[in-house]
Amino acid sequence: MLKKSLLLLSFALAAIAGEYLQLPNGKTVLLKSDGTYEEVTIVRRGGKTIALKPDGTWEEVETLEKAAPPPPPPAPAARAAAPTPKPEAPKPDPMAREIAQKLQGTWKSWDGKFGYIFKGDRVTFIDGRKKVSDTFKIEHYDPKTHTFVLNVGEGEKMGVFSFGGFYRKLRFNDDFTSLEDITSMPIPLTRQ
Amino acid sequence: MKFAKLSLAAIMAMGVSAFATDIKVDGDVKVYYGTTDADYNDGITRVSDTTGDMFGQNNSYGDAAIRIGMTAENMPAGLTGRISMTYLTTMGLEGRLVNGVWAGTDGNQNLDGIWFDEMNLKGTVFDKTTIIAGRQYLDTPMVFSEKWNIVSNSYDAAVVVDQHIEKTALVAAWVWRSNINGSTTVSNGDGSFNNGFNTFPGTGAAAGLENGAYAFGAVTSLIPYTTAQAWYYSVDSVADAYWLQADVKPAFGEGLKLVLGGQFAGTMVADSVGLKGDDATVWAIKGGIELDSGLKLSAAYSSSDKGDLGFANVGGAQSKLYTEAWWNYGYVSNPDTDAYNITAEYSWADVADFGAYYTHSEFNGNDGQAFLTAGLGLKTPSGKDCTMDEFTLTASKNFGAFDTAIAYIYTDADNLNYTIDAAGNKQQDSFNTLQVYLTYNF
Repeated sequence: MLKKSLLLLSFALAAIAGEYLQLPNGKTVLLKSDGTYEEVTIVRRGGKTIALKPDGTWEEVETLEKAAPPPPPPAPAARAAAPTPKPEAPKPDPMAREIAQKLQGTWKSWDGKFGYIFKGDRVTFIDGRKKVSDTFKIEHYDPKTHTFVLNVGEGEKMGVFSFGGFYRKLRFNDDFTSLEDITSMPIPLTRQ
Repeated sequence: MKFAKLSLAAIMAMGVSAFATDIKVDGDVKVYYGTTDADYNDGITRVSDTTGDMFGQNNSYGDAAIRIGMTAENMPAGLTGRISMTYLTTMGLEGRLVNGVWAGTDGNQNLDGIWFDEMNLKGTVFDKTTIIAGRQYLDTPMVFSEKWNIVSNSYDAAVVVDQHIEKTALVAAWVWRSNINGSTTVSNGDGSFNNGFNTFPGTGAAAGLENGAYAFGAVTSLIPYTTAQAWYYSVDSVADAYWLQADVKPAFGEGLKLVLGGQFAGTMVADSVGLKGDDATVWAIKGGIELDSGLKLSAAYSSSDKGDLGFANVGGAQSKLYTEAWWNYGYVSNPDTDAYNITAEYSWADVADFGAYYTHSEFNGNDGQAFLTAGLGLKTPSGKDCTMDEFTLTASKNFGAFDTAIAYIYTDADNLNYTIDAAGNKQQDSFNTLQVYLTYNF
């Protein structure tokens, strides 16, 4: 019975026994079968390799495996050649492009004192004696109501914040023949 | 049970991410300067010992204004929010380089002021019905934000705009407060944070002025080449007004457009106000051409009959009449006045925009009633005829974010730059004005 018990105990110890691994920095750790590890001190005595454990016990090391060093950093040339992740460029919105096309030309209010002159990617905004020329973007186009935001002269975009320039809100009629500025009270605009 | 505490910033961030709100930060800095060579001040005193000294301190006026605003588009429920703040200051130059200001006087020497000029929410219901509530700029023929000055007046109002009819906007508005202040555009008030916003169109609960004003309008471009509009205004128990207008701009040959327009408006004052109780009407016509080369030429004529009220912006100075002058507001819009205007503008590509404007108006006495326009007050002897001639030349150009403009104005008005000597004889002379407008947009 005693022999049987010792045999089972040796099997159990063998089952929980780990392997010794020498790290690239020279230190040695014992990898336990329960997923943990502990650092040990390796000494040699009488042709044997002994592992001194932190709990004060020791054990003869049969095999000491060396851990593979981490891969070296790529050479400068390789780094240069390697593709670097680019910030995601805004996807061109085909509807925005189409609206920008439809806007091209001159749109004025009844008295000519309010309006827009679109030419390429630039717009001249006229409001009374104020006249501003800058680039523009079409944003938040709603195909149901044909409303969109005209972002004029944006200097910088930081998250949800857009600095510089100004917003105007516009709406095309259903057949895109007339335009309204609906930033505040609507101002009908006709193509000149 | 544990409750998670979220900061306001976190809640805002959640809202932002959920609704993809975009926030535009915008603003501008303006510096305006003007000077004249006028000898006399309102017919009472000489301007100074250095009379007629253009660029002299006593003959000059200046202001600076900083405005910064934020617009939040695509907020929850599709709302748009707008908030903007304006700071108006003389930069301490009064008494040194200038003695006058462009805007913002209230009679209490509060020359500087800071206020929220916009603070509103806009939302859409039933697809094409828009509601704008809060402090905002308005643009209707007789209640509007004047944009000629360094700052503009705004209104506490609720506006409903329905656009279910194609190419047509139906507008209903209730206006209960404004900082509008005659020829200086805004009132600086008492220096508090809510500077200058008083009941509209004035104060005086007994007279019904504190009940606010209602406006109803329809603007349509259903007729080809034509924009037509009709407006009705009501100040409870005080006055009513209407404004009809049609503008036609047909193409007329290669690179040429005709410009034709007609205006008809009326004002009616309640008997309880204590004036003579005369209704007044005005009509105006305009004709002109526009060339694709950038040249615009137009001529306009207006005529108003006798009455209690004129046709300028309520509480302000400017009018929307075709004959309105470039600088001397308040003349053409008076009752019992005939006026005409000739305008030539040319946009010289890559060089500058140029303008030449001539306005002549004759106030015919209005049966002894003094000028009623708020911007003019009672500067002229009551009941006298008054003729005004103005000729203006302008040049403006953008340099990137900089807008620049200069204006030269020749003025010859019976009620300006005059004095009455000891013998009772009136001495009056024309005078010149030079103005510089600088704006930096950011």
